[in-house]
Amino acid sequence: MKADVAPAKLNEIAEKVWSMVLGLKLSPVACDPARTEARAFVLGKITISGNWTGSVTLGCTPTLARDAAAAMFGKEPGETEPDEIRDALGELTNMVGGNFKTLLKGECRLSVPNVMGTVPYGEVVPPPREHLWFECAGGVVILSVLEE
Amino acid sequence: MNVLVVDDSAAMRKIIISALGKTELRGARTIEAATGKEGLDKFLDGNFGVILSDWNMPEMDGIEFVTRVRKVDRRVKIIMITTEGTMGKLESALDGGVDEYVVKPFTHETLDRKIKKVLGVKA
Repeated sequence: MKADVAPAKLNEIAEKVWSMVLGLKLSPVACDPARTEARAFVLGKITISGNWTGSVTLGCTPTLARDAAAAMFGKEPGETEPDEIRDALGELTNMVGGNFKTLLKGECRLSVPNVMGTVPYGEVVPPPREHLWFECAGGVVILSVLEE
Repeated sequence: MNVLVVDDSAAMRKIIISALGKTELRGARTIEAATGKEGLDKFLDGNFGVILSDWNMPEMDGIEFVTRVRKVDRRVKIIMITTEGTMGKLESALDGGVDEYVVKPFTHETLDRKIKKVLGVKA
């Protein structure tokens, strides 16, 4: 079955998570592969199985991922460890994926999030152009829902 | 009072503990656990008034953790902190022994309201 969730609803979820957890504003923007800061993304993925099966992928440009981890751990950005960046992005993915799941009809189960580390632009799956794009604090956030 | 915070995300534990400082439980001693199993071990070794537990954790999830706690303790107050916002899921958590739930992301005001509710403190 189709997830039947409007992109506007996904925007709303991402903006709510960013605002409430990080105190940062996400602004939807058009996909722009030419942006120099968007050459790589720290990617988190969470899968949903059951009445609807698929995945939610959340990516942040590396500096923004570091800044998000710093905000969540209450540290200066330069003090964050790679494990903390992975942990923070995993939890953000969990929140976005979990809130998306509540919009689905029927019984579905959420996996634990998996963070893939920093992935070059050309290796992001699904491709970045298939994601929703957001601008935030000088970085880029990408979000996609992929039905399997 | 001792408070046990169980979440596989260190970032989330940090956020929960920071939020606790703005709630009825400010000043409480907080103990962290990164897995349901570690949480159970620490619970059995300690004397806790409140548990705040994640639901979606690897190996032992929050519901199994709560079920195991409830086999030995019916009095400790348990608040599930979860992204599981659907009524069916939340009702199953309450049936499984959870006293209250908070849906992530949350504000410290929401957490405080739920803590006061389980502790029977007037808001």
